[in-house]
Amino acid sequence: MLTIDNLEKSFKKNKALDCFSCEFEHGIYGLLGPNGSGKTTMMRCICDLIKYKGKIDCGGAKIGYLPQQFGMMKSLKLFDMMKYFATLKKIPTPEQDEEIKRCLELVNLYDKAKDKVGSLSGGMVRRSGIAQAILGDPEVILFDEPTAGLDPEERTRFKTMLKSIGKNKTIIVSTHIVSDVEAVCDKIVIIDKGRKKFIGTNEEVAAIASSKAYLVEEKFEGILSGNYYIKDRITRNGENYLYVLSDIPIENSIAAQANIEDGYLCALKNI
Amino acid sequence: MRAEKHIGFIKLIRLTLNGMGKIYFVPYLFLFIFMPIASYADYIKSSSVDFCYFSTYVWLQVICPFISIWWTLFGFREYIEGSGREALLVYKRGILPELITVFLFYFLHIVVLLALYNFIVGFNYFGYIFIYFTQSFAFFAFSLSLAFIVRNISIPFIICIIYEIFCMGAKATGLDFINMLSPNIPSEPSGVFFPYVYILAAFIILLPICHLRYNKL
Repeated sequence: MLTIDNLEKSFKKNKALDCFSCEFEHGIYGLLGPNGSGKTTMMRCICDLIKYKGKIDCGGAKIGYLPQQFGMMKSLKLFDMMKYFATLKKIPTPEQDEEIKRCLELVNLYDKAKDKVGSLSGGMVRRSGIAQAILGDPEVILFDEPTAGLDPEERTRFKTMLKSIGKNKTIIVSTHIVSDVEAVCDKIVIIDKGRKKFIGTNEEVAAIASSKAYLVEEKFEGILSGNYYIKDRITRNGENYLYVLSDIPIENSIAAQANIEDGYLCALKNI
Repeated sequence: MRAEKHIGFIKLIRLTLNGMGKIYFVPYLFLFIFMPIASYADYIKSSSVDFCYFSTYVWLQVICPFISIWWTLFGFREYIEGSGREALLVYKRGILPELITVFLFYFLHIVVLLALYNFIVGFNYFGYIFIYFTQSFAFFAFSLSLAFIVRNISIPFIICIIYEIFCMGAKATGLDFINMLSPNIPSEPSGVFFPYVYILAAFIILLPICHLRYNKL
């Protein structure tokens, strides 16, 4: 379990994290927020990479971390790079090879084990980063934008892998892509301007937008009032519609089925 | 458990140096190929054993300190400015023991080189080993201290090159630290010891202080 209590971090006058408190139990958490909302800063604080105010307690659990940017000695073979991390993580030598094999197989890179890191594609390097993060079976794993640069197949594989390793662990996946978290995460934490906006299950996040999602004919755009957000413009039966999230009911509109993305946007826009 | 820790330590250093690829061999090229060629060329040019002895003493001061930065700066590049730095920092705080071990490993090569000079041509430079050690350590410590501060390896590397060129061109006897152009080889033990002991002490203090900067992003 990971407890964050009143976490604060400022970069000069900018508050990256502002009284952020949260309890992460076992499970997969999606940390959702727009760019600059404080997701990476929070992960860096958990890893004790930067100075911060507040308290972070992970009970001495081992941490695995995939930073937003990851690349390693390009002249090393992938297997040796993994060995490097295995040694850093103090995995006993006799167990290293087996553990490396397990992790590389999970990210579908075992056949590239003898290739040099420099010869791998960007997506493969990203997957090798995921492999090093899960190496040694850490109890707390932090993935910062893990699917950036992954093709759709590998994205799906990553989600499947998350589900398979997620038991009895605390996994936090930071992203701004809602579809990355909705399929695999037990809970979603919405963060904006360094503050926790909401924490709940997928259903609870979607429920934020229930009775707030409407399809409005484009010609009625002028009647929109109150706190609203035009999420999309769609065409249905030859008619142009606006997909609107609004905190007040809209006349001449069709109620739409709200999803997690709508809930996320409602939380962000205070709708 | 303790043995496992030491094995892990050595393994990390081995993999770090391995990660350099072909450029790992540059110090070997300078110490064991360039140095003998330079000594031989000076002998051919002057036909004087004494001149050859002196010029080799100078060459050792040109080459040994400068090359001392190679393995530590380029080998540990990932820890200083690489994109893997953030992940490495999570699992490893402090790289000073590894850096010093690599420096000592490098200096072992200088000892071997001096031994080869002694054994093959009878040039004994062991009396000046403290000078070579201090100069090499100063380059090593300065380059890394600066690298920790600026989070970049190119700047210290370029400054070391500029300093080297400056010393070669300045012909200033006051530059005792790297006195490759000083007119005389120190004949007194004090000439070998001072001012090098102060320089060594200064850099021994500087390196850990600058290393403190390494541990946070």
